[in-house]
Amino acid sequence: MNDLLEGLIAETPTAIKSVYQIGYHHCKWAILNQDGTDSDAQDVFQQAVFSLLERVRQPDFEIGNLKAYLFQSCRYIWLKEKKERRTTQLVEQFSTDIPDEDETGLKAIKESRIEAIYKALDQLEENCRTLLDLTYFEKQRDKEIAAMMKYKPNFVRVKRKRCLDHLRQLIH
Amino acid sequence: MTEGDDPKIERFLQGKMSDTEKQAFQEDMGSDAALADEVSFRSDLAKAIRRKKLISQVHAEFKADDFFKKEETKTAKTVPLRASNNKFLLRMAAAVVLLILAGSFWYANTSYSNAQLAQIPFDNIRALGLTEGNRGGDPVELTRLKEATVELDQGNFAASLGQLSSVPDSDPNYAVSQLYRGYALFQMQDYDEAIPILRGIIAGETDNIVKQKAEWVLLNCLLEQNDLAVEFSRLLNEILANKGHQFYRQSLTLKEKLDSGWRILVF
Repeated sequence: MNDLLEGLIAETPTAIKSVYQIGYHHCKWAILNQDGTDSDAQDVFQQAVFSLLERVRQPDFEIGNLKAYLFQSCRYIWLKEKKERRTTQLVEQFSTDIPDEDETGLKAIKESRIEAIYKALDQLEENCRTLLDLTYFEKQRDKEIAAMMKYKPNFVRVKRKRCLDHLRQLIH
Repeated sequence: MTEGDDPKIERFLQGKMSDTEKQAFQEDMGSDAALADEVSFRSDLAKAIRRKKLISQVHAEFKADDFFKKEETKTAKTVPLRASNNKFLLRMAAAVVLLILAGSFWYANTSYSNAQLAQIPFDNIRALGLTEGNRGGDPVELTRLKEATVELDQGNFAASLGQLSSVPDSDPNYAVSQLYRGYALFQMQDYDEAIPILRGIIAGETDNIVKQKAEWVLLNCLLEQNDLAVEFSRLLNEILANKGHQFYRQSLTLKEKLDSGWRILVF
């Protein structure tokens, strides 16, 4: 487990693959039993993995049981999602069951800014997502970005500012 | 923080500054909270994008391997067909029966509850002519009534009450304003306020159109309050005895649903 923890802190693909193998099917079961689909299960699990990568950095983080932790995380995320979709009254009943501490002894999940950004990215228009990917993931210069996206070089900075402003609005 | 900081922020985050530049920039951040906050925000953004890409890449690999379609692997067990399997079958049958019962209760509760039965769109209460000057009356009060109608159409029930309450009882359209008031209070679930108003219309009004509408709204107020005793029964039966009543058909449907097996099952 220590190797896995180190891998998650370092964010290695191997560690993330292990997380999928350990926790995905149990998470899927939880979601399918709460009116979810396979597609919902995959989306929720990605969010759960993202949250896990955030949590492992906290100094008081401990995993008693990773499978149970992921299960609770998926359940929490899915019930929040359902509440937001306002599907049925049963959601109200189940969402009040979310304990402050789950059986693995972890504290209630509080969303960090990075998690809020992660969710908000999907709500940006495609041009913004592409521009931010090129800037922050591929680390391209504005000149190269302008050539790829067929913008004038000076417009890249303007467009990036607009995308960042929109992102800030979404997370607030 | 200024506009000119933007390229510096990007170079800092991309690790393209020299040591000297980096040190100077970090000093700037120390004295400029807005700059530090912006750098922190974009740094979080960069981390979020990086992680998202990483998870997506792993996810795509698993998808290609059909990982998501597979069931959780468990050790296969051969279960012999013995008498002990009857217990399992009985449990399954009991679970199915419980599910059917739960489903029935849910269906009855959502389709036959008082709230479901008491549904009145405004169009049922409004009628052509009532607000178009057929009764005459003060043009100012008529304007108030028309404004209130607009509010009611848009579902702004509380806003409509102001205009409706100010129509004086000497105005020919007073009964209509009271009817709309009763309707607005019904929609706001303030049945205690609505009921005396509607009773007043029924007792004093000679215009059948207005009176019958007031009867229908009152019936639904009593239904929502689950007060299905003397007054409710009397009112419903009176409407059902009058085939010319505006709400005869609706009352018939209401009576059928109140008497239906689904409702008896749950209520």
